[in-house]
Amino acid sequence: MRNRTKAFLYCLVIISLAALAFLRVDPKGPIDLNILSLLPTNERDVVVEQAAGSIAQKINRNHNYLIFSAGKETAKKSALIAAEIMKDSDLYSDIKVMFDGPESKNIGSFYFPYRYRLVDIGAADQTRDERLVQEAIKQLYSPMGGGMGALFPNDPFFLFSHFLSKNFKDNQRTFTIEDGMLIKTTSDLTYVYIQTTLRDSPFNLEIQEAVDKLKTSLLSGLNGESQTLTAGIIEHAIMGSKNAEAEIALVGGVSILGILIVILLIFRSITPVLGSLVTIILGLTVGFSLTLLIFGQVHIITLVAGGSLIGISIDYSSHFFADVFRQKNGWSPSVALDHIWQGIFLGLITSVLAFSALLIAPFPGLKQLAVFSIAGLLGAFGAVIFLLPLLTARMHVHQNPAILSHLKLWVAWWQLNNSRSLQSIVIVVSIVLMSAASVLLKSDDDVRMLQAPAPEVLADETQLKSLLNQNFGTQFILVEGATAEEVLQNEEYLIEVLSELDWPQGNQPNWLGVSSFIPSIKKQENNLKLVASLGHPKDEGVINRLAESVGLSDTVIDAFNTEIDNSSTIPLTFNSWFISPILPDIKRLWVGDTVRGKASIVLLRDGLDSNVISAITGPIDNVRYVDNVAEISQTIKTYREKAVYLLIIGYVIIAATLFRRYGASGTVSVVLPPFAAVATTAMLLVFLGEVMNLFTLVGLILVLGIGIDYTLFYREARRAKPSTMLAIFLSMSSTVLAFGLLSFSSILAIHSFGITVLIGITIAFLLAPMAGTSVSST
Amino acid sequence: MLKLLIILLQSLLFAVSAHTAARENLGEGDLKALYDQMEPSIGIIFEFKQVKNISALSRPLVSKGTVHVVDSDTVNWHQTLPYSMMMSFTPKGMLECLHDCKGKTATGNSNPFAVTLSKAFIGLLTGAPEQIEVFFTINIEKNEQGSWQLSMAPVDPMLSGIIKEITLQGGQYLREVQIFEVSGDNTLMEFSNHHKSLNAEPGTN
Repeated sequence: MRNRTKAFLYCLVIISLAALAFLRVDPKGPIDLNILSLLPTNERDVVVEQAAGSIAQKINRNHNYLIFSAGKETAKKSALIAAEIMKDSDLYSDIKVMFDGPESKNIGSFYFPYRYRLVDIGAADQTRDERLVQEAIKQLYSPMGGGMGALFPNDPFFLFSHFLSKNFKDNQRTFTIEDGMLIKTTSDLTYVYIQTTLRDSPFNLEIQEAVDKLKTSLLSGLNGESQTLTAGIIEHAIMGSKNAEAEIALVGGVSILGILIVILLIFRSITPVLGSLVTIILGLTVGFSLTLLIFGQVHIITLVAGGSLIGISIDYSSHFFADVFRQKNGWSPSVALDHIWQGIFLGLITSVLAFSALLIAPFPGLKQLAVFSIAGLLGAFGAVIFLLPLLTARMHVHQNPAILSHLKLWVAWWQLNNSRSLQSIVIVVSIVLMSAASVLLKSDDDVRMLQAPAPEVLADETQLKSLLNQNFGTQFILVEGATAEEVLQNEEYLIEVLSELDWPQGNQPNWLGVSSFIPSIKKQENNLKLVASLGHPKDEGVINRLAESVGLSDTVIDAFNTEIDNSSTIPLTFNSWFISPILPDIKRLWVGDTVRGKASIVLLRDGLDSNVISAITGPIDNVRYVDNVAEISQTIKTYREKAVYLLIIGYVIIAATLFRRYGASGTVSVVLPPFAAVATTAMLLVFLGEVMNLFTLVGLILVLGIGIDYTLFYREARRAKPSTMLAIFLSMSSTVLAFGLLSFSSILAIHSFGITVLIGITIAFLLAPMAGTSVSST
Repeated sequence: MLKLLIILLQSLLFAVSAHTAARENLGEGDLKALYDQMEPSIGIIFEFKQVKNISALSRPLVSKGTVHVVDSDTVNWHQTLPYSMMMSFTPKGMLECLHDCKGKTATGNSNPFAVTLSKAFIGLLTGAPEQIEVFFTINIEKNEQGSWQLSMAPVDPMLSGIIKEITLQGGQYLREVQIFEVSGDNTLMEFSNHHKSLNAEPGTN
């Protein structure tokens, strides 16, 4: 097949791939911005996953606003204007500025008929009876018991008031309702609360841009009279996207520019620059398209890290162009290709092997990175093999670059000093460094390294949370059962057990579950039975004692007993509660149908001791404590530990492959430099105060893969030729430029990855000539 | 009957509404000006006698004790007759104090309506007009001897479903509060013997 036909076919494959990928793009857009989709999913129990997903989806779309101003009336007016602007934006499925709507007002009318079923007054004994009588008397004597007197004949023990006090004391305690709005007034400011729900996912780029625009409209719409405080996942997502975009532009743009400048300085010709550019672009196109084709979306983190693929994909074109310094008398692209073919093919195989190791990890993010990189490398390799010989037929290079003499000096040093004893020293030192680093390098597997929350977003969020008293965290307890009734009974048992311990008392309850608002039928029957006991024995019951103390008429006593009888026929069912318009926020805790039956979530307040909760919930059937952050961090830790084995296995496989070709001594020469680079890098990370995480390990795997590329090229070249030295220098500079920039990333995971590869590749480059120089026996 | 109760409960629950119109309905004098003329109430202790007439009860509920206006956010209500009970009114609701009002281990009524009433009560006794104006339309009548009478009607239609009117009388100090409920129940509170506190009853923390 002629070269032109091969090039045409190659281009056709790439165009088809890109077209197919375009058709496969997820409706949410080609870029995935959700940090959670980087996390492993197949590790967790399916119901836990459903519950976590259910609560995350509901919470993710919440977007809270506080409109504040020095004047109360201004703040209220501004809140109404802001709500109108929000409505016009069509961004939200729900905008709540008035909190005295039917769903709040109906709470009283909904629950009142069931008042004797809602409160557990405790088993009948003298202390309980005395307490109930005394509490009712106190309520009656209370100077601000307005209206209570009217309620008294229908609820002489004020049980409904107890139910309300116990369960409805969150926002109302810090915010008051004025003109239907939730308002908080401090010494100098008045805040008005607006609760909104986004129409679409906060990770949708269009939604993020629209929210950003809306905030600008709010700023101008409020004319500087009021300001806004906002909080929600959307705020983190917007900031995350902005940071990632900036980093992609920096890493991609600066590294391409830097690499092209280096090429131009070395070759003093535009052809290698254009040829390298074509290689990079085609590599990225294939990487992006294949990732889209397989995953439907490319994650933003994959793009940031995958941007550094540029640094590796350019290696192949570097070797191709550097061959110009080998063929002194007239350069021929086909001769160059014949000469470098084996070296770059072996390099491709080892890099693909190194990236394939990432496919084993269950992290979708790492899998994507592996697919993106492997496909990108194949694309770049194809570009060098099929396109560059055609594009560079007329290339002329005039003189040897100045850097070559320095490189020659470095290789010459190795030529003089490379010996078995030096290699033995390197082996011993590397083992010592590796052992020391494995002890000294501290590990950190916190999942939060995947994101870099902006301080301003965090500050707003903290202020808003503190004003609203919203302190529920990411940990929860999953409660399961075959039916809704069983779930409620299990939840009630759980809360009973939790309540027995001494917990810190704050403004908010320590936990929040649906069973507080809809007791199980079993519980209701029991509550009713206990309340009914207050009327017995006839004429001598607790109600009679109360009647004596305050002068209660017989009519009221009869009405109480009749009401108890009526209550026995009308239990509050889960379904009637669930379909009622009241308490939509509480109903979010109901997970619903699962593969095992039904489930609900009990949210836990931030700061509760997870060890205690874990110990309490452990022995209880159908209950499972879920600490999202800790659980995912633990998974990351497990995979970091596995990655160490992966690194060792990778080494052994590569060494075994090379052993057949180079024998024992040759294999040591090829494998030793990257091993020494990995060991030294690990120790340097200790000195730099870096922490070890999964992404450090991924970086070390890459150092191994790319480092072996370098030694292979030297080894395949038999002796250190100027062209090989230049090609490796080019490869190293491009990799260092690409990865080095990643070390400036604000996301810890990316930073760790970048700095590890930056240090590792530089050392691998310096040690690589060891593989291409003869080894003396001394 | 049940419907009536439900309406009553609705009112009890979420019946609070700010009303700026209150200022427009002020009678002869401005409420703030009235409070400015009075002796400062913070740190003052006075005696009370409360008589509650509740239709469901065959006899009125009479209680006596002292009131301590601790600060702008705390009013301690120390009932001594017919039995001893100490309550603290705070913006968080009505808290029953177990021993004195220092401790945090107080229980009490903190449902939204109780919180609202507690705030209004603090406003009445501490002389914070802005607290009162949120809840009521106010009418003031003064006479030449420096005494005055203030009548307040709830501005929110739902709140007015429970409380018909509250009247206050006083001179240098608040002397009398009468609460008339829609149901016909009423409460009379008489205050006397105002004097400066000697830190006898510290406020809640």
